[in-house]
Amino acid sequence: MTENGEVCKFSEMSASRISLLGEFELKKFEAEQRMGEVFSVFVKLEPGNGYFICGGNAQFYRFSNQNFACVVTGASLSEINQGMELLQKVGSRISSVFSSDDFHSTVAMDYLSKYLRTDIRNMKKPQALAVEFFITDILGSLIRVSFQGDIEVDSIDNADNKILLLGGYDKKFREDFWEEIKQVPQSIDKEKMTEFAERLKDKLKLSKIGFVIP
Amino acid sequence: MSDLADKILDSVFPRPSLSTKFSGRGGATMSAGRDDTKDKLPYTGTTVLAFKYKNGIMFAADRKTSGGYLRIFSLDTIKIEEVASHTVIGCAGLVADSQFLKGILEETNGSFGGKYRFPLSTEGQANYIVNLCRNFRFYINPWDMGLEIQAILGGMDFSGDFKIFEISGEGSLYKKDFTAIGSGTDHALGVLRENKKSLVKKNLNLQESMAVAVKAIYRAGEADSGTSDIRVAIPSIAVVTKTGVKFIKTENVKKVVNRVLEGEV
Repeated sequence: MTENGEVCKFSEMSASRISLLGEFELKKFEAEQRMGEVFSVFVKLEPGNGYFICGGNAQFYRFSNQNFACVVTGASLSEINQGMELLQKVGSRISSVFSSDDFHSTVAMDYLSKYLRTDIRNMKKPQALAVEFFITDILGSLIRVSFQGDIEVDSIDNADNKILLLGGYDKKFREDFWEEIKQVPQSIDKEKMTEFAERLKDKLKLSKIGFVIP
Repeated sequence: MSDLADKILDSVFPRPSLSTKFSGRGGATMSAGRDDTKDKLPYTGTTVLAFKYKNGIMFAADRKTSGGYLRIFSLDTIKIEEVASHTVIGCAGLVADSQFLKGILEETNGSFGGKYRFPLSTEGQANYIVNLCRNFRFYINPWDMGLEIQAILGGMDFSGDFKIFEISGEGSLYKKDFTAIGSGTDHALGVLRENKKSLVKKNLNLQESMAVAVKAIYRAGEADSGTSDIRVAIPSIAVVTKTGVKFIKTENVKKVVNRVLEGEV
């Protein structure tokens, strides 16, 4: 480690390594840009439950079984479909090896993270799969799997923040978003939620917005 | 996407296999040779049964391990075992095959629970064994009938449901409310069927259930040489309840055995 906190000095790195790192950063940056205005948010309510708000320029999907619910957001419809396909693939494999009762949030999390991590590092693919998953399960865990395969796990009961965000990587968008989200309804009230959604849609110029109650 | 997704799936959830795919040896010759031997092969006998009762599932088994038709290896064998915190397996057939399956099941339960923080469901465990048996029959030992075992797997799921599965060595799986396996099946099932209404309704208490279980093993022991007589070896009884797996003490089973022998139940 150098004084500046770099892994090694620039001059010590081989040309191919620089190129690989550059490619990776470029893919990440490009995916972040495409996911700039796509978000999913969990709004924590008392006692120990909540709901999701999802929005962006593409339709989002909800996947659920008896063990967990998952919101899939992505930069485009085809990428969201690929995300859904991943979930279905792991679901059907676990059903054939074990049983559908064993398709738990942690199983989905582990597989999705492994896939996305490998996908973004696959230099044969010019574009990363810009799709993200927000999972909530029967134990009250909130699991966020980002497009890079990074995992963040929180508990509904113990989460410090009332609002947990996934996506929305654009800096300007994020600032505006945090400003607006302060007025989010603190109860599941259809009228208030619709009103809030309309306002958010206009202010942030979103083409799609919706709520998911897990 | 598909290739990468499948490769990762294979590394995370490999389909169960006992070893590499069988290849090379002549199936026809082996088949003829093996069939010949098989006629002379002694079969081991047993009676293991399980049924649902008021508080969960009751398992009972005789204690005899026999070698062929004439030899008794042991009258002290425990044929039902706890393979996970709320799961019990009882096996009949070749001792080596059943020990092998129990080992694999324990290992799989441990690794799944450790990795994913959730216990494997009873159905998941049963499916895993069945896949293993099919794999054995299709690839490892295609000239024969697969593992020479029958098993009953029962337990409580994460959701709180009690489930019983009957598994056979060639890879079939049945979900049951009550069942019996081994050479004494017919006689034990006869007793269970006499109590079918109560077993299906699951309204027997612990003492009543123990009486039914002991009576079933008694009937099997009377007529089947592979099953131990309850007068010689006290059957082993285990229960799976919401609190876990509990083996009933021999003294308590002995009291029920005496009542059955005296014709009280």
